[in-house]
Amino acid sequence: MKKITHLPIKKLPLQNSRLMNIVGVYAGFLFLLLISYIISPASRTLQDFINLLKQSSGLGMLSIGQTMIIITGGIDLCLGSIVTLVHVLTIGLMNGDPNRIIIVCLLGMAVGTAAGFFNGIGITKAHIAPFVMTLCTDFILRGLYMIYTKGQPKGVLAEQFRNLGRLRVLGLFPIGVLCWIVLSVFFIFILKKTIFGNRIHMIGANPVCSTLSGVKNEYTIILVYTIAGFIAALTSIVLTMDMSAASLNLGADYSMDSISATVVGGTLFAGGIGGIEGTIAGAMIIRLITSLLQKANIVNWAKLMIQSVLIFSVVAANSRRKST
Amino acid sequence: MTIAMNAAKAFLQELRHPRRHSAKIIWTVLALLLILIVIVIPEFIHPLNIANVLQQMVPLGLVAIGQTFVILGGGIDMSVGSQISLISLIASTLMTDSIPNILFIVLLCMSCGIICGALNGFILKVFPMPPLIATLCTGYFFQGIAFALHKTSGGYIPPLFKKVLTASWGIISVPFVFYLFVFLLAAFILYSTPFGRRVYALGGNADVLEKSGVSVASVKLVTYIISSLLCSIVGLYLAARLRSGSSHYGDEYTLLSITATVVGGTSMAGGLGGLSGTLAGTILISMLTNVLNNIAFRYNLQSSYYKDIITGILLITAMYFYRKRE
Repeated sequence: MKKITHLPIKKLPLQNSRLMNIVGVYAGFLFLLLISYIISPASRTLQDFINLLKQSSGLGMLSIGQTMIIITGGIDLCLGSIVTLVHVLTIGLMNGDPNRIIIVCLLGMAVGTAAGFFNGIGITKAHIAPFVMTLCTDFILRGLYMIYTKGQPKGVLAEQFRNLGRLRVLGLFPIGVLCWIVLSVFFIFILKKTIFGNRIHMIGANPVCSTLSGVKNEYTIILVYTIAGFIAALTSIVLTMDMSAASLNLGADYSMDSISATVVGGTLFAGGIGGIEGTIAGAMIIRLITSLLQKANIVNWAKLMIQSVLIFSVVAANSRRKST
Repeated sequence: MTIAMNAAKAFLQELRHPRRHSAKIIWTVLALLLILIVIVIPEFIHPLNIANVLQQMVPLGLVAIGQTFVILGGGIDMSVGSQISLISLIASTLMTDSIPNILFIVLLCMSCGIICGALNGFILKVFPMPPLIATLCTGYFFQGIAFALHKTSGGYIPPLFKKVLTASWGIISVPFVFYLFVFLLAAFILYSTPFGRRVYALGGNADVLEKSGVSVASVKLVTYIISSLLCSIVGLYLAARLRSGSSHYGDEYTLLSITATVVGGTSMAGGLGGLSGTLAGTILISMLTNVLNNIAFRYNLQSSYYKDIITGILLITAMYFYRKRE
């Protein structure tokens, strides 16, 4: 009898393609950057690139939470509302008083974290599908900030707080970009090198398997949504530094944008595969597209259509790849 | 006497363990709530107010019927809101005073609705992706087209069109009669035709349906087309009622229609539930909205903000209540 020494298993394309995927995303980003440089020669400066980083920083930070959620197989539709709620609360409660800066920021973060925790509890304890739960939270938060502001946000920022927004680290980087870099590095480390990161991937790939191997899925999922809520609140505070007045539309696009950035960055909607290193490029791609459309002055409608086609084609391509 | 006792006991048991179709529960809740509301706000049962509630529930009711078909088939349609906005804008942009033009535009809008639904179904047929993502994407796409047509609101709707669509005699009004007609037709389709049984089978176990020789994709396609067709009718009705089109008319209907369906006992996983629950869910939401408006008017509050919160809490509560059902 012939001894079987080598099982004829073909390597799935997916197993090798994670690196290619990230290379592809960054190549796409460089290609778009090249196009924007060709279109407007005036933007070929370091200052302009840092501007792009600054514009992407809010979305990039927010997408870190979204990426972790999508890796667990969920989705979060309420991040944008958390951003707006924390934003109007921060400006409204601070009202120009420099003594309140720290307490108001802490309160804002507590609110965001609580919203994320609420999502996590609903999804795990009440077994509500993530998108229904977060859609409900989205409406509840929207109602809350509309009631708080009565449709007209008020308040002013303390001058010291706004100075923080004008600060340039090393004379170049705004504080938002610094936050983005620190958070990204920290959470890439968490996802790649810690047990918690492994659990996140495992729950997304196969929740039954992870339960059987002793992972408490519920705690991990609650923690992931709570972290996402916390990051959303932090993002909101960083974004608020640059605002002169409160706006109810600050977070309007962020839920959709963060999903786009995550998916474009190579994270699978089905869960289990993906990472923040791709999402960074995804966020910059989305912001670059937005700024290109702004130059053409068709941003309000074309952005939605392009984004939906982009998400759709990436998901379609991925689903095809997974099924082969 | 003992029979009544036993029946009551069995009913209570079913309330505690809702295993299958649980429309009974929602109708009970609705009745209890109605009694409570009538005690607290006696003017709620004034005929004028009842007529108002019945007329207000029509758009939500129509969308929820379509959503029920889709959810029963194991899918979800997140694009209903954008479709309503889009159709209202198409209607208000193209309509003029002449009657043939009005009829033509109505037909055009309904075919646009059918195309939107066919797009949803077609995408799901060709690409193996979750319906949530597909309809979310098409929803944003339709919203983009709506923004391209008009940034906020505008257009022109002839007075005649409004007069016909919103005519009412006491409690009976054209939209409500139309809603009843659509509801009965949908109930007939769902409960007495082979297609209806296929919708249930699609949500229950699509593999078995495929093995028994039915094209799963085409059943799915038809459920999405039904949903979109009803959305286009709602878009036309809203445009007529407010005599303009807007890219924000449909915003709330996505969550509201899902809420009406799920509160009515239709399972998100598909294959379980029915239209009578959805009717109860629709009445519940319209009733709460009406009461909320009443309270808000008394205390000089903005009711739409509170409505968002209450809808969200209602849906979470319903999902929590139905969590044990398989």
